[in-house]
Amino acid sequence: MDGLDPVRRLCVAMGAETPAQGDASGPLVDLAEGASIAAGLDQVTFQVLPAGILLVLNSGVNEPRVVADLTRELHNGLWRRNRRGAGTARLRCRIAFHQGLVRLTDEGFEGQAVTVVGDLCASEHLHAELGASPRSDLAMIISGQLLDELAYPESADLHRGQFRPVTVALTAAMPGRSLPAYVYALGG
Amino acid sequence: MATPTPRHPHGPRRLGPWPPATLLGSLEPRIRETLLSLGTFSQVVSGETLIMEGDPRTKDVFLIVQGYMKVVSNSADGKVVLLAIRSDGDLVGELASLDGSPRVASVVTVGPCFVRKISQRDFLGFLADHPDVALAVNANVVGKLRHATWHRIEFGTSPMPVRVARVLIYLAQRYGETTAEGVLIGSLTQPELAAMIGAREHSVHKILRSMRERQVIATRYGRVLILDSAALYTDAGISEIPPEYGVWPSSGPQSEEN
Repeated sequence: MDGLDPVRRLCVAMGAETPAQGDASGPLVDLAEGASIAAGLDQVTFQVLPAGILLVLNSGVNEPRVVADLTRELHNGLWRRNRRGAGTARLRCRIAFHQGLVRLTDEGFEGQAVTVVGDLCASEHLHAELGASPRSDLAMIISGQLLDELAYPESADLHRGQFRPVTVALTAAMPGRSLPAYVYALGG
Repeated sequence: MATPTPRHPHGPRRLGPWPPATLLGSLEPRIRETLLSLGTFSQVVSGETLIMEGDPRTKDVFLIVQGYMKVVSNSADGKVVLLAIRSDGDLVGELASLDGSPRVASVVTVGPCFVRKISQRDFLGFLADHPDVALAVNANVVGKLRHATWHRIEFGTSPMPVRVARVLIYLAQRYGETTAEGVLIGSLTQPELAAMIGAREHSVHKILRSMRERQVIATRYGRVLILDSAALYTDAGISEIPPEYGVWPSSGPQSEEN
């Protein structure tokens, strides 16, 4: 048994637009847990990142369903939280999807898929998409190749026309290189 | 070059509650977190043998954090017999760790898994320091013995369609994922199902086809989706798995602590 063997997995990074409030991982974990249960997903593993959380799905999941359902349920969860949240600041989130090889070491999850999804979630395009949609609580970004595989007709819930194409600089994963991706602000 | 993500105090963790019928699901959250901080976290690829039947050297235990494993043994006529399926929250390898004997069966991953590997020394030391966990492990071993008894009595004497229905009910109750369409049972091939109930593969194939035609189940991508639970229980000739066979937890699920 070699624990360093890589496995291809769907990775999801989540971040909160609440830099002044410090560590937002607690609310993010609560949101992700509620959304994954509502979406009927089990066998999801998470890890806290410096600026959010990383979700790693089990191998072989129905990727179109996970992307569409998890995003929808996160959006619903944010709407409920912000609607009843008297006394708490409105929470607005970013979510990124990418898939690729993932390793597990003593330091946690590693691999290009992990760093790329982190770059996607931190990208200026995603921040800008949320900033330009003041009514929206959630903006998503998905790597180009992944959306090309999962969009309609593969999934009735993911249409390329909803998204705006962007090019993201991979500052942590592969400095100097970039990746085509698509962004979309839900309810914006 | 990939940059490692910073390490969480206990590394990656499961999102959501643990299945209540499993060892991790039966522990208090604080104790569970402590147990999950022991040993090392590993990702194991599909088809790897974690534990080898007859191995007298290794005494490690494995906590399954994510994924499915099958417990198998070789019969005298050279066939591989599937003894059990283990998944999230289950402990495997504890018998050799507790009594020091060689491994009684092999444990092989069915799909990629995340596991926590704990040495015999650390495991026994933890049990000595935490009598409540020792009791939970004890109850877990007893539960496996009860299930093995149920497996032998019910499966050994019942007609084959009844055996197929009962094992599907068992797997759904213990590990099934509830979806909008029904209860989904993870990766389990027809040869594995046949081995589990001691039947020939083509017989199981015919029984599953009949269930599909009656829309009791659907099969997709190597998984079984139970569409009509009432009809499945009718096929199984039971209204429930008797509680004395230990499929159900003795108490309700523990609350989750992040």
